[in-house]
Amino acid sequence: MTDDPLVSLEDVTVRYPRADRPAVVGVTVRIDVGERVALVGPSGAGKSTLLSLCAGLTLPSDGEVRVLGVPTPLLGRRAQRPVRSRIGVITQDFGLVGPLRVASNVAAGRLGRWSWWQAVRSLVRPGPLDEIGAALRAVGIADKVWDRTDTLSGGEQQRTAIARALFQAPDLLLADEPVSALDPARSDAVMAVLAGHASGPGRALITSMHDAPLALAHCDRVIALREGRVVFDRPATEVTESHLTELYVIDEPSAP
Amino acid sequence: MTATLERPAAPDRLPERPTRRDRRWWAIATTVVIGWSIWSAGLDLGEVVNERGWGQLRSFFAAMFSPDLSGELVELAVREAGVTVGYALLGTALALVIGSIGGVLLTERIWTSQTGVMGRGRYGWIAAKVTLAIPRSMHEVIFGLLLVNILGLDPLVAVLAIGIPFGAVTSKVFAELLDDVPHDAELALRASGAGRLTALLFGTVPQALGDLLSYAFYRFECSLRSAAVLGIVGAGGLGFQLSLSFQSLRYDEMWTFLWMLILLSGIADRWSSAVRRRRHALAAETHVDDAGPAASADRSAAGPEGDRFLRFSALAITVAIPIAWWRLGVDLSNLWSDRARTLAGELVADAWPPEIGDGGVRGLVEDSIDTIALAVLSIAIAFALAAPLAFLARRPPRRPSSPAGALRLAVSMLLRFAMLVARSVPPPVWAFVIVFVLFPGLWPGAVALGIYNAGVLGRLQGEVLENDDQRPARLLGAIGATAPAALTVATVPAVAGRFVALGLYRWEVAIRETVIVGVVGAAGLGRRFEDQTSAFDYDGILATIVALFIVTIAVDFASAAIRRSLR
Repeated sequence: MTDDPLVSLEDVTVRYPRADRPAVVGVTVRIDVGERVALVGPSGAGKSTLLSLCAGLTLPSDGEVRVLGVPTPLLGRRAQRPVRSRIGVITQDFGLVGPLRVASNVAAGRLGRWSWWQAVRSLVRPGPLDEIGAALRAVGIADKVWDRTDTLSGGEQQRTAIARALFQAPDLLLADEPVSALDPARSDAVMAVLAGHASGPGRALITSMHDAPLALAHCDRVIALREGRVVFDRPATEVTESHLTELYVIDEPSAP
Repeated sequence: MTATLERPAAPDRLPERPTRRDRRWWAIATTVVIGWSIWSAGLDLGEVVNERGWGQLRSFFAAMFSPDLSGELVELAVREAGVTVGYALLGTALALVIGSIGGVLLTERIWTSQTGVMGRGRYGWIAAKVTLAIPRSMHEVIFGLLLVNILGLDPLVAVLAIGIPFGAVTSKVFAELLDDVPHDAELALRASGAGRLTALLFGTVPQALGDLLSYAFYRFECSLRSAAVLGIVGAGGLGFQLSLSFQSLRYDEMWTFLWMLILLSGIADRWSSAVRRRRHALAAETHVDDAGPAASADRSAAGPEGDRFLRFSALAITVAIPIAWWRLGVDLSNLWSDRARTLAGELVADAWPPEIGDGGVRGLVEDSIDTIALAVLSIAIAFALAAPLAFLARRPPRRPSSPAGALRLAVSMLLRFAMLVARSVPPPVWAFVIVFVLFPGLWPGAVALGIYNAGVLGRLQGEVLENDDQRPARLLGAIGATAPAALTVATVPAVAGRFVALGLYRWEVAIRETVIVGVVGAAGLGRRFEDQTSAFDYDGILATIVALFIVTIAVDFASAAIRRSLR
């Protein structure tokens, strides 16, 4: 079991309708238990699409994606709930329910393991409160536990989404720009929490990052993407300044 | 690090969970009021249900599938449909003229000086508010019945009866829309010496134009239904034909006209939704305010100038208005004819001073309370039907690929059609039909208004669902939530506030609509009004209208207070 990769992508290509080029082209990647992977690359490189593939929210146009040993699509099948409940997702839009209190949004992290009745209960009396509190404390917003989520600032909402993922305690944590709305010190602290979570038994973290130094500080493997292709995939310790400069270089627009 | 940690690490204990007292209070009050309404309508089934009427009810609905399709009748239906649409068009046009003027007069800023001081302008503002509150509290049918006495059977009756009260409603909504947009441009214009009106017209109106237009289409949709009801009280068109066929119990003929109404209503709803959907694109932040559904438009949506469909729609309406004017033979000079002036004078002389009549103040108060119970009950019924229907009638996101998907699509189409029928059949017709099986009283009126409003409310709530942000539910699905759990945790809480706000908005409308089900002996001010109209008891009518005004204002205040607690 431990030898199986948590995620494997086999020659995966994704074409979105009405897009002039594929978002992801022929990517083959394998991610094992215990890895903390940073996806880096300029905007539009395919980082979010790759995470969405791993979450089973986007399906490959070509190739195969296996998550926790199960091929996607995972969506909509009752039998796959046990698999899905082991995948944590932090998206750039946070995916929070605005009118709910922060506590209820955090509690929703365990919907994959709860019966419908427990889901209803969590709206009225979110719980277990000590664990919800611990998750919120880890990201520093325990004092907001009873606030209406849509009254929070962008950074606080982002941390609520992270707290929901921590409360869920998934084996595979997929985070898309998880600290984009936070100040530098807080970013560092929150990344440490996410990396700490992923160091638990049987776990892994895949996160996209704009901030390369932050990525290098908290992750042990870096996959660089550009225009949907993998540019390099190496341990964080081997990534140099010049690798990154090259990755983010802006193409001169070709003359007409 | 000298970084900006917002606050010291939180203590180990979580803060106490606060309670929203106001919301809890309103929830209890609402439950009590609904319970009391049911109790005052009567709970003894033997006294409510008339077992002998089921046969009639069945034959009415059986005729739905066998309407009279003889050439002559269909031709009549088409001709009369033209009349109804004409009334709706011209009524909406008048409402928009009144609404544009009234809307400007109701904005706070038109009365404030350049420095933002209201000063003596306050009196003008209050005067405008009060003047427009009176017609706003009155249902179109009240205007219709009064105007018929002055103008006789003139198309102007229907146009004015729709245009005046809808104009007052539109004024309020337009003012709110104008107050909602940022005022920087207007202030800049005023600072550079432009007059108040010029600054408003060039600084603020263009920004709100899309919302104003989309509300205009919603008003047209309402006008069409209203024109049908006015027909029933004698203004002509499909409604009038409906009542003639009903008097001779020709259900097959009735359904010919009803199908025509369903068709018209379906087209108008579709069109108005299409216009509004272009305004609402991705409006996750929609909130319903006093304005009803249209005020919830998204500010960031593309302006109307960029949209060909909106421009085509506006053009089509502009062309249709003079055509309707000419086809209906509207003659404005009838407004100033000697006959009209004499009759108006007599009407005023007859009506003044208002007289409460039999039963005294006590009777009037009791009827007022019954009217509130009727409106509460009808909206409780409408909400209980509409909220689940809105969910079940949602369009499936994809083209169905499995038998289950196809079934879901079929169910959703069927339910949407049922809601269209519910709101296309005028409430008085529902009332007449329901009185076959329910003895006259509060119940048949409440059920009739309930079914009709379920159709309207279900449609408005359906739009809220359509505009709701799907991403949270999708994310929860990705982490293993079942579809019902994701719906319960992500979708229901997101729309609940707006669902209730729409219910309250319909409650405000329903209190006005109680007048039109008075005919079936639904107790309250509606029946009183009905009795007084047939007895030409004008001073009594005036007293009833005053009572209706007070009740309406009270309900508006209560509804606004509850909606504030929802925020």
